[in-house]
Amino acid sequence: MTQHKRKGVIQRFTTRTLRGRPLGFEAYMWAAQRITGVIIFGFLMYHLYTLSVIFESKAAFDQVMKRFQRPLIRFGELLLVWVILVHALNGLRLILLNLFPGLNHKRLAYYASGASLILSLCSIPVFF
Amino acid sequence: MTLTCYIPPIDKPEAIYTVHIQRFDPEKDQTPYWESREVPFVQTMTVMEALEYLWDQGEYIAFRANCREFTCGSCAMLINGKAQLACDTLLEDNMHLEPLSRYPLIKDLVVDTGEVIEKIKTLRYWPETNDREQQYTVSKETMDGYHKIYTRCIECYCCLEACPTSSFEKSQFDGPMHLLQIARAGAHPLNSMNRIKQASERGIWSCVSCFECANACPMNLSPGEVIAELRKKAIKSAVLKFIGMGQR
Amino acid sequence: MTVIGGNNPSQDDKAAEGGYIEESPQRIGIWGWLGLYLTGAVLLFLLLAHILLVHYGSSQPVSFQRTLSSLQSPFVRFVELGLLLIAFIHGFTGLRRILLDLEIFQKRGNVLLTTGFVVTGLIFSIWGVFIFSAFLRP
Repeated sequence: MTQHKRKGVIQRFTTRTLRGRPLGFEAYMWAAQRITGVIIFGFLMYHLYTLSVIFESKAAFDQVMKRFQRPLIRFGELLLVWVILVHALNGLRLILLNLFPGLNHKRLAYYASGASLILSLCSIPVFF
Repeated sequence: MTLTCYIPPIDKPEAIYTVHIQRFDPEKDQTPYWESREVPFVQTMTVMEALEYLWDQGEYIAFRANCREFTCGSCAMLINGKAQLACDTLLEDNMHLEPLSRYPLIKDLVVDTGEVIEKIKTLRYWPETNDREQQYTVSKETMDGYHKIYTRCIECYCCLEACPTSSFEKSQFDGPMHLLQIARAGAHPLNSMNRIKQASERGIWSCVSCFECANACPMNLSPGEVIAELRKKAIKSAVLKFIGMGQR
Repeated sequence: MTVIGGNNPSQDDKAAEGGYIEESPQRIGIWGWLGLYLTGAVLLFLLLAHILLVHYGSSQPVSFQRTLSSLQSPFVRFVELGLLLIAFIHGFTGLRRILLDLEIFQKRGNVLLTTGFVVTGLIFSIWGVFIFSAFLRP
């Protein structure tokens, strides 16, 4: 008997995908949930950091807020909307699946990702 | 004495396929290594038949096999990284065969599944009852319902392999197969043990609902759904207990 | 060669007397799970309210004056403060979940990891509340 070493999660994800046996769509949604969660957490920290300029002076705060009206920042906000929608709609799907276990989970996964893409496209006119 | 598996001789193969197998001999090797072998391919040839062909050629690759008709669950292995039954998977070119990765390796494709069997004894998922003389009947509809959800499980360990949550060795998440069997034991009319409480402590809260177990199951069961049901029942019983409406 | 499925007398005795082995390592588990899902459900509404308030709440561009005046209403204060705290709970519980999934730090046990997260979460929450309170006074 050998000292067996179990493979980590990330390694198994990538091995299977590269060997032509990809995981189900929902396993990738699970990974997407985690990744978008980390991104949103990072954004939250950054958001609070930019808000904390209030501790210097109110004029500095107003200046920073004016800088955020630029179109590049608006585009970044659009991407953020998409990331948040992916995380939120997938989370909503998980809540629904745990309340009603008999639902078709695969179809719900497709609906959630499709809806997040469509809704974020629909929010373009809001920003521009 | 030559050991044989004896599949019928393949006269006119359609192609020659290469199979990569992870080998390990505990008496000779320190670590597992890969080996490639060529097998002739005919239509509907399965991975198990490829291994049997190699056996007949004198390549004694160790693997578990019993029924050869995806009913016993012995031949589970990682085929191209996915946990499948070898007798249920058609052979493709350049396939990678590995043993199940969560258990100690004995030889080649055979692993020591003793810890699963120990866990089965610990969890006691037979109807644990106070009154053995009790009579009960179950309607046919109920039995068919159970058949759809629980009783087709052949305990092949494919879902345990596919689940991303229970991979850490000290993880207390038992795994989809065990939780499904706990739910099945709880559904038995004679069962008097509090299965919800048992399941709640054995890891239904670690499940991430990725349904990889449902994708891996050769019997098309969905342990993920069963675990979601268990969670719902656990929350319900906890709320009822909190309100004071029952000791369930 | 190992004996597969051999008898383990001590385990059998314990199982026979108690019904099942009384390990309860998932005690944190239910609150971790429930915390994520409940806070997530609440955040759906709070986040929507926050975005609508910022984009459509008033016609002026974002500035200190505008924030100050909009924070006079108790509803807006409730939404903003609630969003801050509940987002932190959700975020830190989620990060803890990710670390558990990736099996980092699990060798030291669950409890240390969770306490670490709770402490960090509290520190960040206090910082967030300070920033929030800076917008309450002119």
